[in-house]
Amino acid sequence: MSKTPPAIYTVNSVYSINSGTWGTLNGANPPSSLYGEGILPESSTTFEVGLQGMVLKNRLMVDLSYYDKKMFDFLKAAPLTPASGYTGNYINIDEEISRRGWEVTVNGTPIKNKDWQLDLGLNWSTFARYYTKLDATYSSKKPWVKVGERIDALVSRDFVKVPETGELIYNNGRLQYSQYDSNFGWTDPDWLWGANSTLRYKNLSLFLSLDGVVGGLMNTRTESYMWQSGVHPNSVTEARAKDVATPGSKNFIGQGVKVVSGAVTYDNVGNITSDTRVYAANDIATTYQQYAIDLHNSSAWGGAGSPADTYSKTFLKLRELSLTYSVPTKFLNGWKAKAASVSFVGQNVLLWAKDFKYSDPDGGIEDFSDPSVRYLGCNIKLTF
Amino acid sequence: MKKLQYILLTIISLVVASSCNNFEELNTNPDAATTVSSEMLATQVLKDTYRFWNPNPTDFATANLWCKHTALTETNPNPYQYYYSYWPYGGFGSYQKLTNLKRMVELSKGTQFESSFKGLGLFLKASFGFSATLDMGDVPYSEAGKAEEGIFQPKYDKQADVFVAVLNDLKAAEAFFAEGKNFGGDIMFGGDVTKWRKLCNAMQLKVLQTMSKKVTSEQKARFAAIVAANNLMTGNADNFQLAYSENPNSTHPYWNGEYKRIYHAVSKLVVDELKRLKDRRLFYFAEPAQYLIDAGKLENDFDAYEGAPTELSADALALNNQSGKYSLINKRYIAAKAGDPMIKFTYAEQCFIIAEAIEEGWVTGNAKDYYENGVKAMLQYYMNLASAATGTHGMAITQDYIDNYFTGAAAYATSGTKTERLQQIWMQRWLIDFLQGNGGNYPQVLRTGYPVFPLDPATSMNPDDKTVYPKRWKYPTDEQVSNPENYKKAIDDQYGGYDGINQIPWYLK
Repeated sequence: MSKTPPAIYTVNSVYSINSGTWGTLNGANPPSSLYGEGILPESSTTFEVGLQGMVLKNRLMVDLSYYDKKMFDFLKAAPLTPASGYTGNYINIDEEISRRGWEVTVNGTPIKNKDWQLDLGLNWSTFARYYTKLDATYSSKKPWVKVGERIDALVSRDFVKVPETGELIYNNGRLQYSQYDSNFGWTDPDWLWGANSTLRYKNLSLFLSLDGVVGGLMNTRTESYMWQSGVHPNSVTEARAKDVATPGSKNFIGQGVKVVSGAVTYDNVGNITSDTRVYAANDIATTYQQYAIDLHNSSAWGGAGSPADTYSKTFLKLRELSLTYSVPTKFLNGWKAKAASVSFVGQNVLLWAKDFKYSDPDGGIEDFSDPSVRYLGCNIKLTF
Repeated sequence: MKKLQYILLTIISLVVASSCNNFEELNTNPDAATTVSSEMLATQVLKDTYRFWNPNPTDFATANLWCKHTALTETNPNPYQYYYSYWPYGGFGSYQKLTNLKRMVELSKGTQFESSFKGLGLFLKASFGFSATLDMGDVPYSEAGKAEEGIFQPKYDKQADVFVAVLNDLKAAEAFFAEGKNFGGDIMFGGDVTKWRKLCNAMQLKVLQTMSKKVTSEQKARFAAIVAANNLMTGNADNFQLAYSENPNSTHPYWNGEYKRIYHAVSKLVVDELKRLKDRRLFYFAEPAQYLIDAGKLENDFDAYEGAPTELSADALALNNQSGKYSLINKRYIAAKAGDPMIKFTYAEQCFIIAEAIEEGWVTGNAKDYYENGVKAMLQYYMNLASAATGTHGMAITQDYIDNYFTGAAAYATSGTKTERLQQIWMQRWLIDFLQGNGGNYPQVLRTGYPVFPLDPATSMNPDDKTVYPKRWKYPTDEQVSNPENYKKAIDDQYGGYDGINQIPWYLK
């Protein structure tokens, strides 16, 4: 059981003052949230069972555990319609989320003698977060928000498609996005793993740390921008060349259909309520640039990305590699040092990713982020 | 020893008890304000209401596309030019400011400005309701802004009821201003209550006329009574407008916007009309088209100007603009930090409202005089504009020019048909909003059907029906979570359960 009280001042009801808001005049706003009485700290209870075994004179250790962490009394500025005069009401909502997972750790020392030692460590874990209770008022009303369902939906807008066949529907030759959200899958990975090993020979030791995730969805902003700006290698196409050769011409015909007649209506969440559309094969051209911009439409300034840029997070990373030489003590006499070592260290040495080719999925969000840093260096350590 | 323990215990419990008492004090941020002045609240709410929402050239250019005053010639089509939007939703953000207004009035209690702030509060509430209902249809009004009284999910009032309540609040606001003293913090009128009174009256005329398809005979009589009482705007000095300044927090949104201006053309609708009227505002609004200058035309010649057809596809517009085919926005708009003020409601508009009402028989009077006074006021407005002292291509508006304006197509069609005369009024009214960034008067265009906005189904981006003009914006999606029952009832009652942009709200039926 753990409790997290709100941070100091967060439940204060105060005016915000804007000095020099217009010309020389100052302005002020009342708070946008209501602060109720009797707010409780956010709480969680954790249930955990584990099994640990050590055999072969502690040369092999296995640890297996299962946990179920239930989080509740979320402190939330529960959304109010601004038509009420406030946008939030600071309360503990009734929603309850459980995080359940397995963790396995294996550590072992298969080799150990005077000159050689090999230590190996492996860990593997999996988890998922589920709604175990919903707040009648304040929980999301999206169709995928249900008790027992996962909370980590990747919400985005799909292209408008023919409901029966899934063919893309073009409008004046251009792709169209649905006006309603869809759930494209889960963002939390299926499982995570890590491995490290230390190999020592006399005074020399080699350390290696590998880890990675498997599964889980994530949007790539970098590739979306590469497509939109025309620098993606795959965007060099025949249609694009023709567009450029004759300015003003349109040479790309998207594969799919167009609406010839009829109309469609939807309910609040985007389910079709009536549909009289009649289709014909799309024969209206657009420019390849326009098509690429439409297909990969997204912006770091907000809004959902395109399903065309939704990738699997799966990657493997050689996170650290180091070679250390411990200087024997006999060489240290003249230096008054107790110990000394020299290491060559490399961090983020190697990355392999299933889908991400131009950016690093490590970090969970890729919003046109800078390339990750590769660090290569040398440490000299002296202990006096 | 035992005694010492007791003493210690007592001290500890005292410390615990006193720290409990101090909790409120300890948990109150000493750097935050728990009270402010009414004037500061007024300044903030007026700024947040009337300042252009996001003052930068890109968004400013976008905002001037909807009412077809201008066209963008970038290859990527801007939905706002083609009857759609990146954000096709209305909003209730303005209603959040009702809390601001409530505090503003409370904090002025007992001071000599109480009545003025009450008037301001009611006027703004009415303005928020009027805009919201025109944007969406049925909206909360009678229960809006009452979260403190426990109403977290305000009901949506029928649009007809919102119009009535807005009119009553404007009337009540006028009465409060009548008893009020000039007040501080006002960035629109400098706190002049006489101007606010006139505006409250003129706004009632506008609201009544906006519902002309549904107006009752009592409401027409009310219109006539307000005109007869004649406490209305009398000239450009009464214009409700927000003046920009050199101060970095209040510069004109288009200042320094050359990177946008080179893609931003005046529409064919505006250029053709101004040419037809021989109206020199053309030289204030536009630059000549480069290809016509290259062909030897002079910048002070009406024939050196050519507007961009707003319905043409974006890549065709882009191509034509590259070869200098269009008149771009006048360079003076990006040159001055202060620039032109943003007009929200003018004496000229009031004249056109009354002229229309006379033509429709709501009130007696000489429509021609009102038409001419309205046009003259707008021409004088540009004549006296400091930011238009230069850059008008040698065709500055003069008093002499104004006196001789009403000839040819610009002369009031007294001997023509009523429709011709109404169209003259509506066209002049539409021209007021050129490049103001004030949202235009789209509901008036929907109501009157004039000027006729060009629409090509091949380029329209209207997602539901490319052959029609959008009539409204969708309700904000958050309503489905924060006010679901009332939201559902509103779209079921009005729009057969479909919250689409082509659904027709009550006032247009």
